[in-house]
Amino acid sequence: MKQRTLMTSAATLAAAGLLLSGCASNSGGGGGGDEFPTEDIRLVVPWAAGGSGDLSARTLAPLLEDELGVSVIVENRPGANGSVGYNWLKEQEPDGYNLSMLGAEVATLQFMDYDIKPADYAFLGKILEGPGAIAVKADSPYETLQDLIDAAKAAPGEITYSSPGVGSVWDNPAQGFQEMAGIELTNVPYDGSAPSIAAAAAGDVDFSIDAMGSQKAQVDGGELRYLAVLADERVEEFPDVPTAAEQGVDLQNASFTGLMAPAGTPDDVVQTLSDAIVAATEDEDYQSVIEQSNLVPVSVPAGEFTEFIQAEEERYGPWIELAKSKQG
Amino acid sequence: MSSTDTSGSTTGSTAGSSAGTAERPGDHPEDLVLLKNLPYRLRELIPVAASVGLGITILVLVGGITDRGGDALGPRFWPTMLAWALIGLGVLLVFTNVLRGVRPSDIPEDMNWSGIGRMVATFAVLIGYLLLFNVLQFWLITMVVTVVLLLLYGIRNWKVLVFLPIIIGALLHLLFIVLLKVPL
Amino acid sequence: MIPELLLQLPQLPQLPQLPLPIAATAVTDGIGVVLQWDTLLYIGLGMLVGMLVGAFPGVTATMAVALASGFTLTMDPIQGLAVLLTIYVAAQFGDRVPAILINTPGTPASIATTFDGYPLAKQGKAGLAMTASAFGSAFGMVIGIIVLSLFAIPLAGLARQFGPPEMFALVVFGLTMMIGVSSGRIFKGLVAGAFGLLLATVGRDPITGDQRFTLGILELNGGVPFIPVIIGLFGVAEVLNQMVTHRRNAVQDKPINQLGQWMPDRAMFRRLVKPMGIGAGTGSVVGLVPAVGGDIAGIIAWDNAKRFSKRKDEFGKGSIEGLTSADTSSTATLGGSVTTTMALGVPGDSVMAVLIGSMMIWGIQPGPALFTNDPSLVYTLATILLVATVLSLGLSLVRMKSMVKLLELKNQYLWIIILVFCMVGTYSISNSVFDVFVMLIMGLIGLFMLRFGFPAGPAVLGLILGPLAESNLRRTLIGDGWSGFLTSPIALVLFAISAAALLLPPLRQMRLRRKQALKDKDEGLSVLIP
Repeated sequence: MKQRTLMTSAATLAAAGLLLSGCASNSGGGGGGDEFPTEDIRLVVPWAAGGSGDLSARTLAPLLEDELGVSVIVENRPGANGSVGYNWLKEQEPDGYNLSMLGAEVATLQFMDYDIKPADYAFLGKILEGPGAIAVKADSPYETLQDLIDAAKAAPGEITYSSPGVGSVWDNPAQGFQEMAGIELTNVPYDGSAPSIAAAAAGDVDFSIDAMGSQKAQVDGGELRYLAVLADERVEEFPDVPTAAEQGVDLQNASFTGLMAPAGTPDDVVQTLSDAIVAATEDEDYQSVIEQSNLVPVSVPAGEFTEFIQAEEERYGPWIELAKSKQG
Repeated sequence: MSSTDTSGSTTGSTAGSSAGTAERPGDHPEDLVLLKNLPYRLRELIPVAASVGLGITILVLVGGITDRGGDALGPRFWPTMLAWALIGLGVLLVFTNVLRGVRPSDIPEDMNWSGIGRMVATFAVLIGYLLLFNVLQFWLITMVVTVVLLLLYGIRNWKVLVFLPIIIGALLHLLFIVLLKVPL
Repeated sequence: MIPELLLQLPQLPQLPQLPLPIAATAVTDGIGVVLQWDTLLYIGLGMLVGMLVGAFPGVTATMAVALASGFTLTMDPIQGLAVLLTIYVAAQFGDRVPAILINTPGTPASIATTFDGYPLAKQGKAGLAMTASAFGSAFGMVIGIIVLSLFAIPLAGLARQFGPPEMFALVVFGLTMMIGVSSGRIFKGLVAGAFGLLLATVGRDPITGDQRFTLGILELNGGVPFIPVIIGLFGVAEVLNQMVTHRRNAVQDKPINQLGQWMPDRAMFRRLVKPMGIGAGTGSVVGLVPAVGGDIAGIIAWDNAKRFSKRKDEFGKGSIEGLTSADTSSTATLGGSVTTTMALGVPGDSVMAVLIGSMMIWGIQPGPALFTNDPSLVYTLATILLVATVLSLGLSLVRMKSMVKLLELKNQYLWIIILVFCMVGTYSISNSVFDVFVMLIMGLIGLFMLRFGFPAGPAVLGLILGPLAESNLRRTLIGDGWSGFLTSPIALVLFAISAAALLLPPLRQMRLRRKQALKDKDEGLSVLIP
């Protein structure tokens, strides 16, 4: 940090200039919000460089710089399902200068004996979503979700599905699916999304439950076929694929990425950051990069995002406990 | 198990790496000549102890892994199997290396006390260096560490003491901080 | 100065023999977009970055590609691909340098390089080793590219045949290499291998997610980080060993103080043909299997070359054949790796995982539809790889003399440079102080192993293959039970090859000993028969 004093002062100058010119638009929030970003902001990515989470952070950072007038420095702190980065953030000063990207695991890691709880963080905004889907091999005998459910009812535990790893975002909807449909399936965890989807495309397992966008390559290539979208309405690009709810299982689930700060960050700082994130995610360049990655760009402000995380935590808890009790 | 030739005894102890360079005609089994001196054979008890000890430690620690029962292989299966393999191999090592003799190439160059002292001190310096990552200026601690290590290794040439730290500090700063943007 | 091997392969795609009905325009279009000044400029840029990062232990091609992808997103896709792929290629070449000179593989792909590369350097043959390695790497790359451009699509289909049972069988075959890389100390090699396999179990159970041996350390939930382990076991351990055995007043033991002969002569080249062939064959096949990369391919080829060599005894002690086969094989995987990545959408290795992300932004979706939608892309990729290879080979040969000069420094200076660089390089992988601690601890363990005759090769092999072995075994059992293996012909063949690899050498050794005993008896010598 020390070696950046030069950069910092340069950034401060820049920030001062920007504040002077952009005061009118920013001062509306009141409560000293116009004071906040005077130093560089550190944005930690709790995943390895190069993934879609990393990419979204690096796309967003320059846009946030434009909004906030200070440098936003992206840093990768990967490890242990993201918990290394999350844990690091928890221990930082809640001053708004140390932020982290987050995914759905923040709400679920606690159920896997990690010391990560949503209560330790202040959520700033959701920036993208990846709606889930259930897909089978192209020549699979299952034509509808109901076919799959019937087959699973006829032979409990015989139908297998691949997941990107234990404790992944997609274990939860898989568990929810079994609950809602009253069936029993066998989970075959793989090491990441790509191998798990490829396993379904090769027929090593009966179906894949993952982000629709991640499955898209195999669907376009004629290897996989969507059975159901786990969203509240059909997806524009695939109007023929029904939602799960249409087929009698009211299951909706999406992976998501957002930003957060340590708990205890002052409300006005949270508000400033939230506004900046909303503005940055409405940028066209950002939206096109995210869409190219087969994800859905969204602009959800702090308040709404916090409620959403709480809802996810409540929804997932029982499913995870259930999954744990069934393993063996 | 007949013992005849121990020609490569003490004096040949450093021969390990260099002896192999001699071109051999081909298929003659390597290291047919085993060293029989008692100290060498007793020294081989250390690898045996390491192997068996690690195996037993693992068996103890495996008890702490959640066992979910069921008929599929659980989380305990794989480590348990490996632990028993370690114990079994350790026992085999008693027969091959302790009872039968030691291959000359298994005997390394002698350590010396000043060398061990040098290593311990180096570790202390490096751990101090590591703990100062992100605390002080990276190029500064790198230069200081370089000077300290040079002094520790008995380098008194002032030109080296001045220039090597500057070169290393500057190079690492440029590569990792300026170019690769590593947060240090 | 270009060896005849390379001259024999001048024109890449043999149009009339294409197994697929691809229009000739696809080929010319694909090549044409690369052979433009600006694209070539970007290839040059990528090459400099790749060579630089490759030469520093710990700074991986993955990291360089990930960082560079931040800048290439706004570029034209072809130019972006040119930068990223060239970094990948050049890093392969650059990475061999520390493996040979200071026994420190910067990435797993150069593990097998250390087996013979470092002993050769110690004998004062660093120059020869680096030249042979560079030519081997270039040859491997060319073979890999040929595989990619001719057989991309059918071979990708073969890769899809590798489900959990086949992967497990392949990994078992890989594990039999432990004996080969034990340099004669079979039992100690197996102990080291078991240690590596155990190290791989640290973290979360791959199937149930339970913690194993995490000792309450958060970072260990993600498993033992891999690159810090290899840097510790190979590079740091070697420095520590020099440190504890160094005598202040002794004559300076300067193992590598001259370049030696550096361009192989005709006879040497002839000797290298076989290991290059073995390496190229092994690498192209292994590269096609997703999640298995240059590290394993290098080790398998090294073992294969040893098996077929007339000078087996040299292997592990400074065999130019061993080095060449390992490096040829390790780079030959690139063609296969690019193929599976592009045609299946499954990353062949971590660099490819990063590349997929970038390609999607450019609107290129890797997956089964890729090559049918855009057949010229195969040739574009092949041309980029080929140009990058030729340039990297040239640069490797040119700058080699100065690299070896570095080793004329006093041992003490080298220790400091190696230790400090390894620490910072390791830190930079995931910005983690914990990783550096792992590296230092592994250095101590490596020193122990070195002093007591445990080879490091099997330990690293265990660490790489452990997770693949356990998870694929258990996946098979969850899905199909033990019958999953019996119904897979590929798995059965691989098991048979593994059994042969295990049983043949001891049988052969027994036969040799009997022959030797008879001969010795004739000559009236006493001999030790264990």
